[in-house]
Amino acid sequence: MPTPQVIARNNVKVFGRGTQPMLFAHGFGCDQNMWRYLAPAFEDDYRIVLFDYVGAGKSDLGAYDPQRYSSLDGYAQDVLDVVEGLDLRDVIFVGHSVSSMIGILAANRAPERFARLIMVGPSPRYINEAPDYVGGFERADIEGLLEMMDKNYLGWAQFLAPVIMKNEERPELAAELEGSFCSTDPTIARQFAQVTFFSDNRADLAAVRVPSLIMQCSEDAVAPREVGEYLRRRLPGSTMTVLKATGHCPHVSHPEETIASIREYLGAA
Amino acid sequence: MDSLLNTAPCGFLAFADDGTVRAVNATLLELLGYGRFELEGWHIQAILSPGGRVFYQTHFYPLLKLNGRVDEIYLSLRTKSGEDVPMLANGIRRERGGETLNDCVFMRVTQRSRYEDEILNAKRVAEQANQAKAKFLSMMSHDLRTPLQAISGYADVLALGISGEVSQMQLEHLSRIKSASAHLLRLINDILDFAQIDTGRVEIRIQNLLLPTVLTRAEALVALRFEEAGLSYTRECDPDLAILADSDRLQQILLNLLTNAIKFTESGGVTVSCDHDGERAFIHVKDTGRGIPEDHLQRIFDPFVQVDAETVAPAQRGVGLGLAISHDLARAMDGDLTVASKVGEGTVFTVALPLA
Repeated sequence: MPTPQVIARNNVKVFGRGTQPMLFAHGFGCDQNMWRYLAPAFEDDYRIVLFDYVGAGKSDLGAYDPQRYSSLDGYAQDVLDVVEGLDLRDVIFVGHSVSSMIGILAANRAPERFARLIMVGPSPRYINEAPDYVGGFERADIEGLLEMMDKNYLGWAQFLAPVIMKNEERPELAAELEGSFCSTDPTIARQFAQVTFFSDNRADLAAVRVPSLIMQCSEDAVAPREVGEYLRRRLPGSTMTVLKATGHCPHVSHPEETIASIREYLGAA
Repeated sequence: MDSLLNTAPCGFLAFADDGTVRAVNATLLELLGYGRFELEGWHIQAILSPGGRVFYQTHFYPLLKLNGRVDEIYLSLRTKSGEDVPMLANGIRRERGGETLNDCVFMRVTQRSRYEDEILNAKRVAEQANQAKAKFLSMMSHDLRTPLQAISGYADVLALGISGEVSQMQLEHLSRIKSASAHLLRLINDILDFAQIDTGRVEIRIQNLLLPTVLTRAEALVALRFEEAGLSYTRECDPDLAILADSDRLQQILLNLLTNAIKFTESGGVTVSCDHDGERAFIHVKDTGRGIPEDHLQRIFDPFVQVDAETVAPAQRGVGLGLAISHDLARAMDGDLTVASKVGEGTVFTVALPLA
């Protein structure tokens, strides 16, 4: 895909004074805004690349194709489109949550492009598989999440979505948009949730050739400790660090610890 | 906590950034079945349903932290006995006692949640029905087209006399079969087109076009009909006007507008004129027909709507999709189709398309 199209489609932002690219991929539920406490810490040493997946943030919603994005492969293609469109090499990929697996899929398809995979709260499978695998969720739990999304988008992003889609025609709404974070088209968000929480990437782990860091939070309801341990055992070349931070978004709730931990890993590499 | 907040008719909870609950009011404790001070020091996840935990981590907390506040978030909490309670939450971040706290209020929305379930369910059913309808229309049109092409094809074969001599009367009958099947085919194509546009499967190839070239092509196809109807046709158009459009789709729109104009004009004629505003070119198709009443104008681009269907001969009648298709096609080419009309004076349809 030609560079200008990728930049526009995925709302790509590039800054920083370094040469080695550090590509930040947001997780489900938000957009590149999620990196706002983290990315600036690396701009002296790296070339920072931020983007929104198609369907999220200020990406081109018109480029959304339900078929393409019916599996994480479609999202991995977004990552590869950005990497190839900007001709990035030796990439340090930083992915949050579901983007960890998206990064793995992308790195398995083009390993020569990636130097490191840094995964914040990764999980290859969110749903428990009796008797051996603990993902943390039952199917009914995810149904509960989807219901909550439907209810929230019913009155919330439902109003934002048309604004985003029509901002080209109505520039006066652009200013209003600047203030809306993590706005996602409700239909797309729902499909992303389904794809994220029902996918199973355990079989993709063994093929990974790029060294990786698993950043496991203490008490993370979305990616529990067992999942981190499972990844550490199955993912070749992986290192695990357990953050004191609790929750699933340490880069938002505890940016300093997250930054220090990434620096330490990159410094040791 | 002051007693007003403690007993206010809504739940209140403050938590730190690491999720630790710092304060809960009596109303929320009672609603969730916990005793006094029981929740303080716990992690907020303890009172969230499993789906609620994910939503909290992926939406609620990031939004609260990034935006400083959240409003009207639907979140389901879990009681001590394991029941899920639908809640509406507002939250705001505030500095207090040397740390940043996330203050949240919760309103129980059990009743409202049930209504919303019904609305969502109805929405889903409607979407499914709409998809099924479009799929049905598309399949049906395909299935009807194949035998129809056989009918028309064999009528041609018979008329050629390949399978035996054909009398003059038989030729006339064959010609009626031909024209009836051509009419039927047009209707079916309209339905198929509409179904494809409706499901977003129509392909548009935008090219740089000279508008007069497209007009000349369309005119050639309707010239005979103008003659038969005894109507005049005039074109006033800059020969160098270039636009960005799909040539076949634009032709389809123009043919639709021109045949409509012929159908609804008894005397006088049709004028096609062009102009532009620097960004868009406009093609005006103006007739001297009887005009369209105000209340019909608003629905004229809706599918399956026919104005004055009873005044048109059955053989010329469509299914009321022509204008709906033209309107959708114009929009698909980043353009538009609009109408202005005065009863007794005539109607002007205007196609707007980006200038090249």
